[in-house]
Amino acid sequence: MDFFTRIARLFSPKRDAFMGPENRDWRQLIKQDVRTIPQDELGRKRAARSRMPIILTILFFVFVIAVISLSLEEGTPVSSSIPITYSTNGFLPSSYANKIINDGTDSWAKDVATIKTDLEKDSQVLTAKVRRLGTGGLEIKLLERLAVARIAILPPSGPYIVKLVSPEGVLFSGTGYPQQSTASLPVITDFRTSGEGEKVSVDGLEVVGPFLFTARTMYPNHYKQWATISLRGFFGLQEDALSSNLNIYLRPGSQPIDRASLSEIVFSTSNWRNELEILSKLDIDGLLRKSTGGASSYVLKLSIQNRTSARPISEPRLVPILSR
Amino acid sequence: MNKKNLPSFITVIDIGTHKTTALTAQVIDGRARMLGFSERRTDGVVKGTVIDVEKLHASVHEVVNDLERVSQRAVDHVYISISGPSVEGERVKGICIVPAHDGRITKLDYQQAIDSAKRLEPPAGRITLLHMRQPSILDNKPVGNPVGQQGRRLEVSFWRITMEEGNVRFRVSMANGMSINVRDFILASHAAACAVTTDTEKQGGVCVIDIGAGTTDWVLYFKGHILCSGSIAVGGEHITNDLSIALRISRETAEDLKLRFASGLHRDQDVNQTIWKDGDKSVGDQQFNRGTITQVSSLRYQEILSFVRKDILVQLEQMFSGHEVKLDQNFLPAGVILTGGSANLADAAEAAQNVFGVTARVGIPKFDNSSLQKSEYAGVVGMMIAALEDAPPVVRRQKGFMDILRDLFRF
Repeated sequence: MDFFTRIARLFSPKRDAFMGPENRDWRQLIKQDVRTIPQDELGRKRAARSRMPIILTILFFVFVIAVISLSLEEGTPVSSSIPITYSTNGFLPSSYANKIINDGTDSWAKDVATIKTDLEKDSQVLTAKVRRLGTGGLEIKLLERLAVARIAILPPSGPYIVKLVSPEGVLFSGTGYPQQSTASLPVITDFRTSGEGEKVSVDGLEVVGPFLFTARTMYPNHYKQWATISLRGFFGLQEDALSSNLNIYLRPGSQPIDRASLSEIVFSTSNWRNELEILSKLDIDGLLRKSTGGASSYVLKLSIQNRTSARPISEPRLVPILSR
Repeated sequence: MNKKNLPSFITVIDIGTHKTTALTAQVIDGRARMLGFSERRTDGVVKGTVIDVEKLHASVHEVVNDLERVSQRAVDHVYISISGPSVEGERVKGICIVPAHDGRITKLDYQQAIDSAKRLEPPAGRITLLHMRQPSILDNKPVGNPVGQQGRRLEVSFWRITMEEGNVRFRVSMANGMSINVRDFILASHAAACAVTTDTEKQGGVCVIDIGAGTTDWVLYFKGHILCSGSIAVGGEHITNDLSIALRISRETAEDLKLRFASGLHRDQDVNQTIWKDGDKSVGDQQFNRGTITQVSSLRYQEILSFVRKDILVQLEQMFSGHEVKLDQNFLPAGVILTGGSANLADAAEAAQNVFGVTARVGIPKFDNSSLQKSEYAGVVGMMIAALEDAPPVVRRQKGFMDILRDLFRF
């Protein structure tokens, strides 16, 4: 007996106690063998029709349970006094969640959906999962954005505000981040902004974010040496944009003192993935030691796009900084 | 938990030569409340004999499908009618010599006599379907319940209904193939009698003749019990066939004329009447002499009845060999009752009265639903009544949560 038949039997009407007179001779001689699903088309239709109410009943109850569950989850106000299980993959403190729950005019009562929306209003939060626990508590799980760079923005009024940049190029305040963890992040400089007031946006972050995230995850040794990313040469993402570059300045103390130093690396905005790969393959230390230019510091120009020259140039180009 | 009788469902299927009818009802306080009725043309049966199994299966399946759609209940148990020449009846008896010195009959003696009667094997290739009780005879005197009475020789007899094994197997497998259990078989003529006779009529003596399309089944009751039954492979289709040949018309036209103008008796004034096939006297309409129609139909009708009379007499002579048996008003005070589609013929009762020499009437089944109060539905209605009488009260567990849900969602 298959699973479906068992379920059908469970919900099927109980057979009448009277199955027919037992003392009939034919009943002893001819054993009845009832087919669950008759073979012909009409039989299959009948079987489907007889099972349809069972299926509809099950679906009805599933629907009712789902509706009740959802209404309990989202519709019922959350009391501020209930225990909260808080977890995050970043640095946002639990006080942030408590503040959201207790915020508003009816500060003592917010439903789950509203809490989730309020939590996700802060751009530091990528997604928030809020659900009720069987014990009556509330579970909040935050997935925060990762910081890959710092940026100092001058608002229309007031002093500079330092914000963090996510891999998606989104700016966020970095609430709860310890000082030492933000200090090690590269700083974005020479950027252009568009918009005003609260809607101000930084051009080029949509490239810088993924670029830094790739460098951080795939080439961490190089990323650690980067102090500043200058967007002075950023002109957009178009391939034919003339020398649209990302200029990376390395930390001064991160290189040996017995050779010339590499102070800057130039990446193109459209081909940075390949250039990062090239960078990882280069023996920069060896190149700098063999350099005969006599300069004390060099620029590594990984970006060569749209630069035509009369004579071929061996790539990548290590260019000495003669006067600074 | 208090157990109480809860509504159950009874479904009966009457498979005839011309049509298959089925009825499903809910039993409430011993009464049947109709939930669904279906009637479909039967294919694959000629003169009560199955000639095309697949066609018959399809016809019956259609009827079951109709019932389920109408009643919104899955049919899982059915009573099936049996009729036609493949069904035979014979009297079997069991004898018990009372062992007690005072001659008092105990339940054990009675059961012993019943067992010995039922122990008799049917003829080779046949299966016993029913044992229908006949009066017990104690020292050559008929008695109702012999337990507690005194005597030396107890004779218990049954009217045993047998059927060819292949036919029974086919009916069971046909039902099983439709995901249905056969609860029991019901003799079609007995079913018709259940619908149209009263206990008083059965007690006095009555003969019920169910004239179908292909077969004519009859049953005779005496002293409240079935005395004998039989079937002949002649029916209303023969009248149609005769009219078709005599008037040189198609069977469809002959069937139409039979339903409108045929009669069990031929009267002289019929010869002077002219009838039209369609009545609008348009192109293609034909006129016929009504006298021809009534003459052909009455001859065949009375012939069918005389066949039945002859069959009854043969059976009675076998049963009471050495005694003179007369089919008269003394033997059958309630006379003859006609049922079936062919009982609707004009002057059918008069024809039966002429042939049998006793009072006759057309039986109308007693049923709550007025649409089934027609003689052609006596079989299916009677099957429902017989099933109700046969089946013990159904005891099911008390209504619980699942029962309420089932009632709510009708599964």
